[in-house]
Amino acid sequence: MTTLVAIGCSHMAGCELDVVNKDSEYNRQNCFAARTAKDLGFNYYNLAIAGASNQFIHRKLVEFITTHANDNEDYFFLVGWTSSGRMEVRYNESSLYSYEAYADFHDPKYFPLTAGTEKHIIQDTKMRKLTKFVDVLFDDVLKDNETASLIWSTQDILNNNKFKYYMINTCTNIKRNEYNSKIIDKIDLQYFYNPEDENSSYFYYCLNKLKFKKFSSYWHHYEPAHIEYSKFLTDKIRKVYNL
Amino acid sequence: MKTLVANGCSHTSGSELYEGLGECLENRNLSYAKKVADNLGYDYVNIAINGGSNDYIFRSTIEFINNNLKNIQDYVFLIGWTSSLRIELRYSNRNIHLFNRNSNIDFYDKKYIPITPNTSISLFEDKRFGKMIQKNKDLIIEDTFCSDKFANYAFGLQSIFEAYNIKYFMFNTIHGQQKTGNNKATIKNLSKNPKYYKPLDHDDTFFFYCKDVLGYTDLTSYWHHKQDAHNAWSEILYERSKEWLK
Repeated sequence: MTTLVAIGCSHMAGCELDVVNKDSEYNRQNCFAARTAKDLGFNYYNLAIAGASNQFIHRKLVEFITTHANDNEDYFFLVGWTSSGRMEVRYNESSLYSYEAYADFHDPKYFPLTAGTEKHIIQDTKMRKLTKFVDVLFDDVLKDNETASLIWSTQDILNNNKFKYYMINTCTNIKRNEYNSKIIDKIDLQYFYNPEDENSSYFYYCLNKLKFKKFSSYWHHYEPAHIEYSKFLTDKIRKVYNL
Repeated sequence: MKTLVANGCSHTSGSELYEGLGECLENRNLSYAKKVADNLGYDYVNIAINGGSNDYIFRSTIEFINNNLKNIQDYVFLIGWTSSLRIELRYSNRNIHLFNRNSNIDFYDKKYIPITPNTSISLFEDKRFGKMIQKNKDLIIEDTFCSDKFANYAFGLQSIFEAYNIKYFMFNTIHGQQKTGNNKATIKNLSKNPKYYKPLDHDDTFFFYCKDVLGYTDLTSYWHHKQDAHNAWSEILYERSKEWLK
């Protein structure tokens, strides 16, 4: 049987879909990725974490393929690219701090840093101070170039290993600049839903097309949006792969 | 005629070979990479930069491939991975500063800042960048994180080369890949590929092979090998890579 492997940020992890919990087993089993897997008759892993960066997505995909994937099994990768203004840092092994998540195959020493990370959720004072430098760390061009390179690399890794996949944006669109434009031209549009259109990203599709106007203070959609989006996504994947 | 594209850090750019200058076109033409290209009978482009990180090597190789995709079969790639403990940042377009030591590469974006754990604050035109690095080195240049990223970049770039049927050869210039709990299977995979020369082996990197095996111990103050070491390494590298680059 095929296993759907979902990789992405909080939207892919289903954060807050139950209104109460940021991350929970219930949320992961009822988010659009879980529902899509169920509709397609696939088993399911969810590697997504809240605050995940595109670096995280690329890293976890390589790690899954080389470490966890079984040669005799079939996998389908659902990749939800996130805002480019994010990165990951890591507490060293001797640090007392960690970042817990319900994600499969999670290394809790990695900490996802975003431009909007609220200081009060960061336990470590040093990490908190690092957020003062988001303008230094998250230059738009630097991060948009990185995102384009990571997408292209991911696409080729999946193709080389003959894995089926589908990509979406979860909360924004891929941004072009003079350096990454030719890379973006090489994104295979058959397997990536409108990468340059913000309204085609999961969050805005639910908001503007599916009319789910209520969402949490951290900009997460609730369960009804996940249910409807999974129908849309399942339909897309069925059409692309004639399933 | 085919063109060899060399990418890497200061070792591949031939830093200090010509009259001790850190960066100049002459250095690139004296580097081991040029001699490998000559031995193969190929033209030569060198996009390595001083302080170049593996972030840079991954990103700029992808940019180069995409800028030349129409005739990409005319190019072969020689990748000299560098220390994993380096990153790159960038002055924003609103920021007036440049980090412009790399004027010999025509497509290079001079806003990028190559950063190593020892980059002196005096090199940053905008001191906030230097301050941020100095204060947060242990968080943003953490060992496991950097080692995981290094393995992923090598795996990612290999996948791109293979997907486009591009000839390539990889080696390490100064540090071997480091196994972690996260990347050990990726590194095992890299080690099986004969187009990446001994990814784990510290002693087979350009710097340490020349110093400890070949005995070239007369280094510059910035720990660069001199011309004799480059000449010797070019012969070794040619022998190791010719099967994959011809």
